[in-house]
Amino acid sequence: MNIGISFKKLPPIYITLTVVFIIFIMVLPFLYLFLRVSEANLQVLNVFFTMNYVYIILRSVLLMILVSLITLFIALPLAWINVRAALPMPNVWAVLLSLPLVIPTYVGAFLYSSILGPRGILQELLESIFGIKEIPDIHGLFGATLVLSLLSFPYLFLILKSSITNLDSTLIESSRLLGHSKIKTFFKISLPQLRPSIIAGTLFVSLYTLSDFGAVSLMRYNTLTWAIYQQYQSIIDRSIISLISLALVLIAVLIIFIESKFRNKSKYYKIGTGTSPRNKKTDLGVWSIPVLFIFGLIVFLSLILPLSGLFFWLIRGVSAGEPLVFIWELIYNSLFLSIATSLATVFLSMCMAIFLVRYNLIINKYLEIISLVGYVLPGVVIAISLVYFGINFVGFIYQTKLLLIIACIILAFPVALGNSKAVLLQINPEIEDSAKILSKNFLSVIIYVLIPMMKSGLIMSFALVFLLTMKELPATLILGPLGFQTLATSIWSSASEAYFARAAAPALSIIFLSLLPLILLMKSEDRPGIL
Amino acid sequence: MNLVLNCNNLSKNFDKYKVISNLDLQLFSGQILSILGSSGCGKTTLLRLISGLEELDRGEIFLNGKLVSQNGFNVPPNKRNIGMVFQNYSLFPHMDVYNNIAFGLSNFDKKDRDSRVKEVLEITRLEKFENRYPQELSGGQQQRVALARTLAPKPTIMLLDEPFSNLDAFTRSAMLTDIQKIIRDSKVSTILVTHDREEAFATSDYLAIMVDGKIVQFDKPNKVVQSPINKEVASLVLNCSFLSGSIKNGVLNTSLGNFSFKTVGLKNSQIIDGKDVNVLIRPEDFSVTYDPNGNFKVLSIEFRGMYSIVHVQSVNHGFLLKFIHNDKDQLWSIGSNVNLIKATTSPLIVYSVN
Repeated sequence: MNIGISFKKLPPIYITLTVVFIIFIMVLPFLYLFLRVSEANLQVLNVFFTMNYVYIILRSVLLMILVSLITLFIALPLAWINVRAALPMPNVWAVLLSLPLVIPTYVGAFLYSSILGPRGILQELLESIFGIKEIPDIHGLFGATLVLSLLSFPYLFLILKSSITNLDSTLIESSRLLGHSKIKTFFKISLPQLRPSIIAGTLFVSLYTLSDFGAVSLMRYNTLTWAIYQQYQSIIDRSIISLISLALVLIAVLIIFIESKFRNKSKYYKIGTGTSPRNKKTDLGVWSIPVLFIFGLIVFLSLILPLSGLFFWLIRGVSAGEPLVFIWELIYNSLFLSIATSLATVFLSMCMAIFLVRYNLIINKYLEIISLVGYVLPGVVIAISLVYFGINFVGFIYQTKLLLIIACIILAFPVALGNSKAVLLQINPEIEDSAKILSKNFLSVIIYVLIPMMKSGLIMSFALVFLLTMKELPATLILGPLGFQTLATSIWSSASEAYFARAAAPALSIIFLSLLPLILLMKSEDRPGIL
Repeated sequence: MNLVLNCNNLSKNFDKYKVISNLDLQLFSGQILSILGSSGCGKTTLLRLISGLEELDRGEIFLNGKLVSQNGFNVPPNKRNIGMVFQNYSLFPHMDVYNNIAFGLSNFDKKDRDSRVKEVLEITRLEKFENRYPQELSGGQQQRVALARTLAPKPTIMLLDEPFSNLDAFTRSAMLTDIQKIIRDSKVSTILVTHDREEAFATSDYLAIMVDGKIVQFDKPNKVVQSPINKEVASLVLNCSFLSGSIKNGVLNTSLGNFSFKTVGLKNSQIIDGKDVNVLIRPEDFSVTYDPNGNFKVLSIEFRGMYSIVHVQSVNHGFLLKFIHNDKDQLWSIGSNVNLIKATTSPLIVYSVN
């Protein structure tokens, strides 16, 4: 009798084939880098070291460190106070502090530079009131840090907020009963408990910064991604691109390595069960006034300031006769790309998750690492590698939307996979086993049991991928078929030529379209790992 | 013996829901007191009020004669020197056993701290585990670490919140003996809260029965078992059933016959002749005998090893009773008709019907 066991040994063929396909597309960027680097000769290496690339690497690292630290210093106190202090309307604050997520970095970049930059709104104001003709230029490191910090701290805020909410409050109470003050308890008990999510969240923000293209390009801060794109545009020697990319990969791998070093998973289990009493909120007393002021300040800087800039340019654009008709095509293209990518990614990540979670094969660990390529490699590099394979091996899909969608899938896959795996892990395998005994084959188990049970997680994956793809810029710039413009690319090209009024309407559309999945994400109780 | 804890007329509401109402409780030094109550009766809240984790609405709490809680006045938990073992033990997962225990000893200098940790490690027989992390320990060991951590700063009072509920039955019975010995050895005054009568009996000097946010009976455990003050207490401390009856001419009339009776907490004069009463039937009060024309039918038999529990139903009136039976060669089985014969000479306890 081996009912059930026969199911278990190997995954069904359709799952295996899907996983093979996933791994195939995920391997392409690495293969490309490998091919290119192997072509590089001594001369290229000389160029690499003379052309200030080392300097560019340092600039990237500097930006990354600054943004990670600043976001941590903003997000940790905000999240802690939001969960554990008795402030008025905590949920409204949480929403306001998460909303900057929907502003793409390139939109943020053009808005901040058009407000705070030379000849910007602030300067015009100052000139009309005080006659000040010049203010310091925010382009460069300052601007890039400002934009990336203000727009990416919500990721960390949401991650920290959920783990602070889930902190075992009896640990904190035990520490208090053992004679320690609230401050000491925070540093000795709560902070160590939060360390894994602080590290994971900071890792996410630093990789996000490292692979960012929109903000650094518009803030004219020369980092690796921007250098890669420029190299791609000028086409001197492609092996230079791959050397720079390799530098990027190395930095990313190094960060991930450091993260795994610091995280000793076994020591952060919640031990035992039992209900912990509801979290008691601390009354801040007089302190709530300065605290509310800081909350307001962050919301003003990260949300109200850029949005009012956006409306300013929108009104100025419309009154100057900027045509709004063209925008429907952009919206259609962006929606098409986002929906197609989301559907495909959700399906693929579900298959991969079933494969990884339910079949304990030795290769699984490596397959999972390979499928996380979108985390490590920025969109620019993934797009360039797909251009290479498109031109050289499958000419008929080069310059089609299919290749672009594949690039977007690679980029969004890690987030979707993490989410699908998390929901699948929550499903008791015994439920699946009883379904297997009652069903005629595994496909019907998937359709009638797994998918309905994973539904909430799959919807969340869809929302996340939709959000990411809606904001995606560099891959669309490089891989989009001729004449194919999305909201993102049109904003970027208008903004990079300082046609801010022209960029305003598409920017508003992109923010509006990104709000829909965000609402879905915030409503759900069990938020995915990354949000 | 001096009074270490005095709770005076405590009340606590959550929103509009009364959790503790007009509760009084005293604890003398070195005593172990168990608070027995069904879940939701306010036991955990009472412990949280005593420890200062929760602030009370009315009443006062005195520790060693010093006022620590009053409406609007609350000595913070870290200034009370009260130890508490939580239901889930709440061991710090990022610290090993040694550091968990040393955590409450920050006022000690390094040498004293070390010797105190060694001392409680010995009391709790954890010497071998000082470098292990909590998740590397079994449930019983984790519980001993929690005890050790709580005992280390020599608390005035130790509070235990359902300490056995996370243990399997086998470990539980071992820990019942263990914990009692550890507490007695360290001479700390202790309050243990539980919903399990065996846990409450096994460990305590005194037993407080809590119903709906009030202590309704406070006595030595055997006294409570002998004379539970009302129906709720009786069902909490005994595996009993109830029968309705009435008093006529100083005799208790029931469908099982006429018996002598006594009351608890009420004067006999308060039971008026002709009034209906509830009769407490202990499982050992009657024996079950085979009788084809008997007035009762056997519904089920639960075999418990040393004895069986027999559920019977009155054929004429439908009410249910349960009894202990340990006769090896019984003549009846499920579905048989049986009769009930009074097996003890002691009077039956009656409660007035409200």
